[in-house]
Amino acid sequence: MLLPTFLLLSLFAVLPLGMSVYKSFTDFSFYKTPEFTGFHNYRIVLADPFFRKSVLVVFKLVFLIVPLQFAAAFLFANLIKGMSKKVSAFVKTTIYIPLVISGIVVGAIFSFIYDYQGGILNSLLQFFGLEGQAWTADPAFALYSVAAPAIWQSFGYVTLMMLAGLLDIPNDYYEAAKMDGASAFRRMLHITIPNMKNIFIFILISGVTGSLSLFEIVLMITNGGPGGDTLTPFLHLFNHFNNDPTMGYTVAGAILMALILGAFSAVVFRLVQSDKAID
Amino acid sequence: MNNEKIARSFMNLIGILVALFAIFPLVWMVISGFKKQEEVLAFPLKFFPEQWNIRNYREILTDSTSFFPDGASFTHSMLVTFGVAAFSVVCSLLLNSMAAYVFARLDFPLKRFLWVYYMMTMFVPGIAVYITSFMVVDMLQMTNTFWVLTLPGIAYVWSVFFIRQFYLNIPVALEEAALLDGASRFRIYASIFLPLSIPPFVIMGINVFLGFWSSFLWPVMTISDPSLYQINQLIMFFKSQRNTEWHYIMAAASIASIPPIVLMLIFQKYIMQGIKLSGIK
Repeated sequence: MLLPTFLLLSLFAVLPLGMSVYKSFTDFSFYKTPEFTGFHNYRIVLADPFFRKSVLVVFKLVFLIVPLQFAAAFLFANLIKGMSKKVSAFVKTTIYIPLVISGIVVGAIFSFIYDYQGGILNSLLQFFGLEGQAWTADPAFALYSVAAPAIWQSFGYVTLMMLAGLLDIPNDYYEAAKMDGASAFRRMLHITIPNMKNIFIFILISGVTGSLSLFEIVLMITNGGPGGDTLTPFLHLFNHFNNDPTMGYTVAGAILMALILGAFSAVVFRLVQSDKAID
Repeated sequence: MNNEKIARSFMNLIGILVALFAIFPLVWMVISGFKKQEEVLAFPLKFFPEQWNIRNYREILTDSTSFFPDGASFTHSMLVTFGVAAFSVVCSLLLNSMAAYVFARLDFPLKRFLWVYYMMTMFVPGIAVYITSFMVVDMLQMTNTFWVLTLPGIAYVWSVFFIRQFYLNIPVALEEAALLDGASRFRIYASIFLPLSIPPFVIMGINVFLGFWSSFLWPVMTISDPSLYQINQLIMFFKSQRNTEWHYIMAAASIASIPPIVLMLIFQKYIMQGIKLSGIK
């Protein structure tokens, strides 16, 4: 009964992982027999200014997306708690919908919103007498133009996670604190936040890894431009996969990204853990 | 008391405004799909089309102006994507729940090792294996087949983990009688556990379906035959061909978004449950 999943996992997850690690140390391509080259590929990737820039870009995106989304979702989840039943049911359903849309469709919608000539964003600006902007081509805006849809798409999901956590805290805690005269701020600090620890960890990890993996939205909206200002590592590696017959570079880059993803999850996990220890 | 009421209606109001703002891009997509090309690019902006015309939608669905490469059509691609997702969901639920049952109930040598082996794959980011997975399916000559789209995504350890968690809560007493009667483990799984599995199956089924419906990178790498194009691949292709014809692109994007949204609306109760369960592990 275990056999089917075991075979599928071995063939499509474990074997490729082993191959990736092995191939990253060789100069293989699809056309010739590979030779062992040690850390050569890794050195090339790490020395490549495009790869370095793409890592920098994606970290900028992480710092744009994750804190904003986190704060907005936390505030809004607290707000939903105070709404009437009917309204909160409507709100919960509505804000969740963007999550089920594919990244490609999200990218298409926002490309249209940002469109220089017909986009609604510029139409609005011009309505107020302001000048339209080339949102996706101007280095001043390009990064924000890909961060915004990313924040938008999972805002509802993060909010609902937060809400689930909030509703899980017994109301007695708050009542008791109120009786003792604790202010709303103190109640949040000493009841809400400690009790939400697990949810916070989960949201931060998935937010960071999700942002680090941004790909489809960027591909559709800016395709990495202008001048590589929004080129994320995934998009960079995707372009390499398509254009570069020597696969060693691509695989080594992919392994590096996987390590960054893993390490970041671990760091976020640690940070939140130790915060808790101080309490 | 009165104050509380005011506060509540204030929160209601803000809530509705935020919800409308959040849904606006999708509403805008659907509205724009009804417009003519001149209206889409019109300045000053016309919010609603002069006439609600389903022409764009019809043209996309019937491919009357040959938007798509030979062998592909929008409806065909929708059907193929749906077939791939539906097949994978069914296989995924059955096979992963069998594994979940084994890990929840059976004891055998190497169980520990196998559990770690399974769990390990959950922590490997997809990026680390995409290219070599492509090499594997290339060696197996699976590219440009239905199987390359379905098979690699079926074994899903998060699903095994989730369903196992659910099975652990089923009382052992339920299967003891069957075991005494000499029923095989598979029969117990099939006759006792499967019928009880609806809640985790719905949650995981939606999860898997949505994953397949939004898939893009893997199909782009493995499918070049237009008759197997997945819907996102087709939309990407379409957008690159019809750069400023937003009325068509938005109509296509709207149609492609119907299945996930309908699914989400039907099963929203289960989805909310799933959110709770995944957060408070």
